[in-house]
Amino acid sequence: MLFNSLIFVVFIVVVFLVYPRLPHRVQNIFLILASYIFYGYWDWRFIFLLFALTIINFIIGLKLGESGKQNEKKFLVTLGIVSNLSILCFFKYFNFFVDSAASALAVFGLHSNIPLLQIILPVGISFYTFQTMTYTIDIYRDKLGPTKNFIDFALFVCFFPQLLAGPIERATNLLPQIASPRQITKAQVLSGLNLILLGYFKKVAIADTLAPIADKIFASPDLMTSGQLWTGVYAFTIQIYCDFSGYTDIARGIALILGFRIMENFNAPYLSRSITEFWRRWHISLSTWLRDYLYIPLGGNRAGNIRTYTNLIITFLLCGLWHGAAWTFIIWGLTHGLYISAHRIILRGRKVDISWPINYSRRIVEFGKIILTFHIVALTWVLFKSPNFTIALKYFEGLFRFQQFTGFAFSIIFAGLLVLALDLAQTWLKSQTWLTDRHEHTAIRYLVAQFLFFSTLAAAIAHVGTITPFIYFQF
Amino acid sequence: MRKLIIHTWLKRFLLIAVILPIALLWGEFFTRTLLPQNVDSQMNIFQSDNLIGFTYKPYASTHEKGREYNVLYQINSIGLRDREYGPKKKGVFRILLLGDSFSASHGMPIEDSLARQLERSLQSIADQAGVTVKIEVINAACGGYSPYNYWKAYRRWASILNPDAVIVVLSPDDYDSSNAFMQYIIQDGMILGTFRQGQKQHIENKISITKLRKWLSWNSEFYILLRNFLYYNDIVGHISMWMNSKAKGQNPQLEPYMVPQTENITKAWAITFSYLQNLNKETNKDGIQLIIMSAPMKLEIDIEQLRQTLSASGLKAQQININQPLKQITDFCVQHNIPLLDPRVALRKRHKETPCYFVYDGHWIAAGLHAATDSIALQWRNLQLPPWNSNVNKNQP
Repeated sequence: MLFNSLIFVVFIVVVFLVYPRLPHRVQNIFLILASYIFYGYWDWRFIFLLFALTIINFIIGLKLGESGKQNEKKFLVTLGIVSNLSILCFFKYFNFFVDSAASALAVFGLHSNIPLLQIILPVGISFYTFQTMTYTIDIYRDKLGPTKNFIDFALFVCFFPQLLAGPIERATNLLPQIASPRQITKAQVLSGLNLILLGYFKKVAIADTLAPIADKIFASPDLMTSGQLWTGVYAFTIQIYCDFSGYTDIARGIALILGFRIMENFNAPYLSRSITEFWRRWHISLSTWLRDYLYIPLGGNRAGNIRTYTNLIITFLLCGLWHGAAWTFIIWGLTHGLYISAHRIILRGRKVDISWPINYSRRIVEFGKIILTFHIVALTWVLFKSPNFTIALKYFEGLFRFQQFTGFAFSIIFAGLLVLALDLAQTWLKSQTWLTDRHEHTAIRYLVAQFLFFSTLAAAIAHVGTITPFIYFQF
Repeated sequence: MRKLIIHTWLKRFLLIAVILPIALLWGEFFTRTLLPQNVDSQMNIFQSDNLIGFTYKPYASTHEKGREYNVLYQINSIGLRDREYGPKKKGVFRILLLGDSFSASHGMPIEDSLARQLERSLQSIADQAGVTVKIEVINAACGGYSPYNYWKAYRRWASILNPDAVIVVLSPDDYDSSNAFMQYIIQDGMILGTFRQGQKQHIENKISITKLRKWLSWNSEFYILLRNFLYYNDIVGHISMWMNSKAKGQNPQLEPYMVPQTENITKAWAITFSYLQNLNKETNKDGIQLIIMSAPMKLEIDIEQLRQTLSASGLKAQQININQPLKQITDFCVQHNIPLLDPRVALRKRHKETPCYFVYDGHWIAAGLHAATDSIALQWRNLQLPPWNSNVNKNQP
């Protein structure tokens, strides 16, 4: 079920009406049922996969809690990780690995006979397998005790607002909220509605409006002028941010109305002054997951510079692979790994400050850094969006053919300014839900709320009949 | 306490009342920048006509804009949406095309119109047969016309243009008999309203909802977005059906196909055929071949559209007969010995491959016009209609 479909509107209204009237334990069962309906609406067969993952991790969690021996614990956590990753690899990467192996063998004149399978990628599998792994790993690390309540754990795995595209929640944050009764206050509901409005604005009014522009330009870059290609880069840069952060906002808003606080996933990433800062503001739940469960276990920055850079590059390579089973994603991840390593060399041990407001005495330099970081990230999105390297290379070649700089669409600048205004407001007011949290400047808040509402309404009407799925669903 | 609550709510209400217009202006700005729409053009291209009711104004020019089209409307020196025509030259076979918006090719540029495509199809067949004739199809059709206007339009144009044949395009809903008594209120080239002969002319107030709607449709892209959504998704239709319980189980689009036919429609067809009979008599008197072409509505060609319309109306399949209007037209043609051309088979075949109608608008697009004209040109030749049954201009038997 997509957040931007009519059936979801009906679904969520029913959930919001029934849920608050139920006692705590029944609420959890009701949310599991709702989540399975939500997931099964796309393809009912995969609710069995979700259930199997739940059972495997629940049992391993229990066994980990019972086990006193370190070796046995190690075995159990390895078993948990391997089980989760096997499922993920089979559904997501089997064909990619077979195909890549066949291509590699072909270079040496060898032919592989392993057939490709017709595998349907279960939507959101990368998100919920990673989320489930945090449970067993955190028990192993003694950060969390195993839950003995299967219902609570099942809800942790399938909680529908963040099931399909995150944020990748930690068991340490979500499970205690599931286990204890939840309070739903008026302020919480208003904040939730604020987030939902913001999310739909980003998704429907901005991302879905820019999607056809970006798709058209990326489909045939060789037919486009430099101006059009730059339009495509900016369009996709804004689209992917609004698409993904819009989903997160809606998910967080729904969760808030249901009484849950799930983690922030984006913090004005395009206002970053360096690539390191960008990764602390972009897809925070994944970048912190990779830091805590991959980069640090690999040794992090504790074993010398060379090892640190190697760890960074491995982490980002796998970050690219997590996004999709294609070499363009892997190279996209590698590029970001190289950027981060290069930035680390430039920093020479200095800490990255992500606090705001920026240093006003150096505002031109700071502003320049934001523009530079934005363009580094935007150009790397070309690899992410292009279906293959040939198209990506054609795209890069055309971008810098400045003699044909025509056809730049200024509507992209308008969309960018809108997103910038929202991010600046969020940064300065230190709240994403400032429309409902604050009590001063009522007229301005009402005005902004109506601006968001009417823009979303106009865009929703204009896009009637064409539901654009969220980009991150494919991961 | 109660006073305080009322005060707070009053303050909120006033705040919203002040902010709402600003927010609507924002909606307009946002739509224009990111979701541009075609506003309606001021179709100020009409003039009153004592004989037909109204015609295009000579030399008028505008753009006809809608959700799916934006085309130039250019009227020639005698008031037709067509090129200039002088006296008929030797070797020219001239056909006068009469009809409503379907035949006028609503939303299509003149190069792709029914008249131009029919001209090309007929010319191509003539060339292939070695008939040295130059075909000219004159577009005398106009949106809003019905058979009464076709008959009168023939009178207006036949003497000026001297056609060899007249083709009347009849739609299944062309049974409206009211145009005989209709008077048109035309101001600055725009049709502002209609009234019936003998009735008091209704003059619109300076400020009225209709005028506001018109103004918005010419100036506000945000309004156009909302209006198109409400109309093209049949929300307005559903609301009016829901509000008017008498209308339940009916749908204006399905009216011509309902069985048994209502008394009103049977009467309206009878009157309509009487106009066509008059036209037939006049063409016979002038020695001009009259041909009728039956133009199907989208739901006769697109099964999915029919299914949806039927489902929305609440009617059962057995309550309609999709061939009913065609049968009525066929019976009339047989009775009066008028050749009938029907492009339905060709359109159904082509529509399976590529859409032949606008998605929302329901009129033909270039592919539909092309399929229809190719098919009727072939039927024209197979029926040995002029110029194929005439010895004039033939260089081969």
